[in-house]
Amino acid sequence: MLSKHRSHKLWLRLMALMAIVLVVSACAGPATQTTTEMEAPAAEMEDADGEMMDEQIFRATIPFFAQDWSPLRGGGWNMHYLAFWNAGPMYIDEHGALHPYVFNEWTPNEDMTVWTFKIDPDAVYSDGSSITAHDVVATWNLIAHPATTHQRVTLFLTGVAGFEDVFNGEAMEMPGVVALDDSTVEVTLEGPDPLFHKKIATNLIGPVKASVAIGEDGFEVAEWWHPKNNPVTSGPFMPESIDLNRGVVTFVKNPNFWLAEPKLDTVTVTSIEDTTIVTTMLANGELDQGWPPNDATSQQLLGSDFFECSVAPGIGGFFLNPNIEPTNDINFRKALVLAVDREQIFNLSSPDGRGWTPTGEPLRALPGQDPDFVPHPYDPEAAQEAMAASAYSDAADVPKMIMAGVSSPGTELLAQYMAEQWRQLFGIEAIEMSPQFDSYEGPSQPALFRDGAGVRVPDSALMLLGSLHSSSNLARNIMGGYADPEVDALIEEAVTKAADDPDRVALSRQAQRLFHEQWMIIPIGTGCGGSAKGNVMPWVHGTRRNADAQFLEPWTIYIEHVEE
Amino acid sequence: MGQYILRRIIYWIPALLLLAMVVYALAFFGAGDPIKLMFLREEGDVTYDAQRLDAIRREKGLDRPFLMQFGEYVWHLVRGDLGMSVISGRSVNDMIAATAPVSFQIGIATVILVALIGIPLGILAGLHHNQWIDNTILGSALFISGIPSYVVGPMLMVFLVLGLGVMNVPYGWDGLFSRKAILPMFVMVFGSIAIIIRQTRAGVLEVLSEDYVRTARAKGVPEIMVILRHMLRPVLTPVVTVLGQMLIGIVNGAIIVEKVFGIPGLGRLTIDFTYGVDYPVIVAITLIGAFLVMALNLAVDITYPFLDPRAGQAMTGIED
Repeated sequence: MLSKHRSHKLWLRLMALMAIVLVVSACAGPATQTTTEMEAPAAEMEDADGEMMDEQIFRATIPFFAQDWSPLRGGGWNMHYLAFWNAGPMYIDEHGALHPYVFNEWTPNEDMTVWTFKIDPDAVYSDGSSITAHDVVATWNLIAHPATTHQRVTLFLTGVAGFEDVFNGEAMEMPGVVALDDSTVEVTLEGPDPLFHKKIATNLIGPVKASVAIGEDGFEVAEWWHPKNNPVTSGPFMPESIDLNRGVVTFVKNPNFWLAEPKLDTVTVTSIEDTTIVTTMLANGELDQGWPPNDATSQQLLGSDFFECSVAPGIGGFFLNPNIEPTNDINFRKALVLAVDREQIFNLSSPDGRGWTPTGEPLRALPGQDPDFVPHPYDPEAAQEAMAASAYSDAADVPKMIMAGVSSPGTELLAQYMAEQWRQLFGIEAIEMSPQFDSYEGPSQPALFRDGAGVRVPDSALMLLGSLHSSSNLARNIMGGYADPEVDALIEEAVTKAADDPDRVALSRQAQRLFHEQWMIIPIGTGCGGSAKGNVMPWVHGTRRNADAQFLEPWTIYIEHVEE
Repeated sequence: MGQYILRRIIYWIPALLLLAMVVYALAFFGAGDPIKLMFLREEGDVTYDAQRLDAIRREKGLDRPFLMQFGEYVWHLVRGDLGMSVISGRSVNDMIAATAPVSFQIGIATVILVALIGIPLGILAGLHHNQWIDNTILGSALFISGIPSYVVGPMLMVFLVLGLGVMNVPYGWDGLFSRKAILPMFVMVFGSIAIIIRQTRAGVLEVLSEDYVRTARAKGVPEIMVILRHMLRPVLTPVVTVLGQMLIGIVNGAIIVEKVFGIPGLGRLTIDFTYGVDYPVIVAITLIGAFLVMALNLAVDITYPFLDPRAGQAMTGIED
């Protein structure tokens, strides 16, 4: 037993320990204080006349713990906000019209193999220095190189002379991109491309200041984009603070932005992974923009206008793999497709009835949309006939099928519905649904993969090039190496035609028809291309988004609370 | 005692190295490819190209054999460098330095609050064994603890923010003594308190029948003194062990609460970077966790002699 003296000593030690803990806890605040408090959406400040005015703060959120805010990655949730702080060569608006930005002139040669771009003489970085042709060349060489891990560079620079070598890490510079002088960039292509200028109209390849972002070794400087390293940017806003541990990024006005003075003072982007929190914060007025689930609860709390439905080009659904069993059998694929009721898929996808029944037409909502396109019907009898004609007329012979990309409750519901249809009609039971996915190859290769593809430029040939052509991610990976020489040839010919050449559309439609006859997709979704306003609350004005998933002209966005 | 502590600490070194190798190997060979996942997580028109991925691996030095990569990692580790994150390119030391203090604050504060609330309630329940007080305390504690934190956290938040409108969403972290910490701390404390109440109650029931307690009462010692001087120490010995384990668990893995409430601690770091198979981060977090287990076990062992002198004799090998 402890003596009375030792007992007192013990208590004194415990009390001292508690005191130390409390002092340490009190002193240890957050790792970095942000300048903007979430509780102060419209901080009051005085204008030049001494009148009180609201500070314009746009509070956005991403459902991902973003750790890398380099504008050179070409992907990730944070790239949805790239237009706020990084100016692209040009941009395409929500109606498909091309607008100048860093480049204000573009001219092709006669055979469309050499393009010359002029930089707007007013275009400057946030430090006031001019954006130069040398910066453009250096940036494009950098994003083409694997060390930079740009995730979509092939969409924009494929076809540029020397791209493949840099893409595979075998060279550092593309001979096809040169600076003729400080304000002129010349791009030489390996073949004619009448729409090359539209392909590069994206914020995902906007120039960065080479002397800041690129080291002497030719590679990207680590965390050059972080405010602690005094970054230089080109968009209407510039990063003021980035707290990667808390997931809070704050942008303020770029005083040197050359097009217009942004209406917003501050933009904050917070990483919030829990969708309940996002919905609650939006409903409570603590956020202005976010990506909550489009479910009944969120619709009730945020209003149906929040999830407005706009038709957008693109194709989405469960794509079938033609190179593995059992989906390599065209009759088997036909049976699976015919057994699924698209009306039911629509009802399950859109409980409130907004949108359109999915058709599976790749050219939907594009200038080349085919008026004669007939979606595959729901026909259980024909489905059973097709199954009987396949090599899997006995369900016991059907090997296990993996359905990949079943990563949300909504998708799981659709996948379960389809699997149940197939179980009832054909007796197929060996189906594995996989939310996680870590390989396109090997024994876990999926027979059905849920994914989709859109197009940044509203053009039929480019849509098919990025979805059905054997070089596309969709064909190579999602469809397990889909490659039809006839489809490829039609698309390859179509992309060489001028934008207004009727053959461009005719060839695209022909390729689409061939693909359609191969029973390659079970379309899902509602045809809604996401909110054209970008999922903002009613007090946010001026937001528009394009097919590039970017906020258009973010300098026009402003906050105005209307008293009811 | 000093020798005992030194011996224990020396044993940690091979254990930590072995653990690092096992975790590194598991991540390296089994968990997936961080570069591949970086691209697979992107939907739609992402550039997924095997040759390109190989080139990226080559650029980042991830195409080298396991032993070479692990050897380099250990070389940096012995110099106190936990490496660079594959995904973010950030220093893992910086990431741990920023997140570990937050988790420690939450862990220590939770343990203190659980002890301050749970131990008196456990004693009260034990002293009123099978009476309404006992049933109320135990029943309530079990009921509250039975609701998972991923349910109670969001539900409480929605109720308080949108239902009653008494607060803003407590998302983020402004320090332990900020308003934002109240709800997560509530979830943490009430998720853990039943264990301490039950442990304390069981200890009280055990010592109630001890001769020295009966003797003290027979001698007319006031009840409060019986509790404080004769019952508390034997009751607290196993409770301290549980509190130590609780602290380890919270610091290492308050994943749900940190994720739901956006608290930048080790739990959130763990889940986000494990998902991306960022093995320098995974190994670093595992090592920190293992170190914590060892250090806190040692701390608990050191605390025992204060509560029970027999434990000190056993530890040092000195008998009366």
